[in-house]
Amino acid sequence: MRNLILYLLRYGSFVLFLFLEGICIFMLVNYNESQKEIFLNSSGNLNGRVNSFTHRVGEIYGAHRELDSLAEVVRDLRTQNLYLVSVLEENALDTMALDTGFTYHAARVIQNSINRSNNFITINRGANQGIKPRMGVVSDNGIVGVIRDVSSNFSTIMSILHRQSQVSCKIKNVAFFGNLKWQGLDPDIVFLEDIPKHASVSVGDTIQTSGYSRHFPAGLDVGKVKDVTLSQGSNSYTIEVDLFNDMSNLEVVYILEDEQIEELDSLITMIKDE
Amino acid sequence: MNSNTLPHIFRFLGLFIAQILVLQNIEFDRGVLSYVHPMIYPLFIILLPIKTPVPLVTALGFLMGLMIDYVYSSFGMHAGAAVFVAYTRTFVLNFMEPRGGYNVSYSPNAKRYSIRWFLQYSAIMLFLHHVFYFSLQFFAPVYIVPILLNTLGSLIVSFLLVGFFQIVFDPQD
Repeated sequence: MRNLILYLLRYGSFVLFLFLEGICIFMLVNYNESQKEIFLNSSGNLNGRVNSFTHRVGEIYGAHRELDSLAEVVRDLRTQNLYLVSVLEENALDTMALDTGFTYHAARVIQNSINRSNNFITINRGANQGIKPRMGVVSDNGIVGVIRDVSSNFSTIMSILHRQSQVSCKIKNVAFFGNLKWQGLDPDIVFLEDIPKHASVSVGDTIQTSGYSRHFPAGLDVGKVKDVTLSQGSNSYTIEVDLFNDMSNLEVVYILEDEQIEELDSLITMIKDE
Repeated sequence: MNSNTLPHIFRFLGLFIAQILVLQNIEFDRGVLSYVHPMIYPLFIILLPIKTPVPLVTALGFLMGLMIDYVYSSFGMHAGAAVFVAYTRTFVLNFMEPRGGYNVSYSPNAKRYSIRWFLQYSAIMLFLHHVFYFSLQFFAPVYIVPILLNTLGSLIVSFLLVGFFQIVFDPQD
């Protein structure tokens, strides 16, 4: 209050000036026709501008809310789409896999690791969906691993990035086969061992599953030869394989069910029994 | 009310009467003279004693302008211009301060300072008044040319009238 009084004492004449000028302008635009018209026109313009501005602000605000609800719709649609794609791919792979004797189950990866020496992957399909241990698991680009344990709705996969993982593989168009193993370092690199040294291998050759593992059908592309070494005194190459798969970025995987495995098992058991 | 106040009251009334009885009738329809709307009443504000408090000067200007407006039926125009020129008088006086400074008890007139100083001071004050008045009259920036022409035409005649007033009455303190 004291400050206000001081202010008025100091700037009182200016305040009075503004006040009196305000009265004058008020009279001017109220009692004089031409000034009134000009004032109303220009203030009408101003009003119009302010109105359109507030209107636009409202529009933007409304648009934001609409965006939010649209985002929710998009999210739902994406979820549906992902499901439908997995169903479609499942079906497509089904028909593709007819002649191999394998059927496919689609599953989503819910847990994954690549940086341990023994890596496991968890998926959201289990015994209730027909998943059994020892089934092979592939992704769009290559092989992922083998089912190890199954609960009613989930399964764990022993990743190919596991020290004990072994998958029988061959060089494309060549019959020589060996075991695909991981040595526990780079998640993009696995090693193909036991390819005899008289086989012709060159960098860039494609590595495929051989079909001998029984987890995987023959002819699935796995990776590309990156380096070939022949250690001294050894009869076989050690081939460095660059995986087509990005093991760190798995979302949807497909579990391979071998329809003939029981038949084959019983046949092999007969051999063992002898 | 002492003897110093009386001349200002008379000047107030005299200039008001001169404005409404004589100068109001100076209206030409066409030609250069149509820009001439002389106004002498700001001389009352010009000649108020320097020590008059600014709020009082402003209020007196408002009163004078309001009375003129009442007769002219131009509510707000003369009052607005008079209030403006009354308030800015302090700044003009500051700007115009002669070498010896002011004797704040007296009016800023030709007798106290010089005829040349007084005419310069009056010209500035009249210009401010006129330009503000015509701005209020036309009330839109697009009329800048008529505003300036009217200001110029009226200023010349108003200034001559102030000089005439100075010669005839030689206003005292």
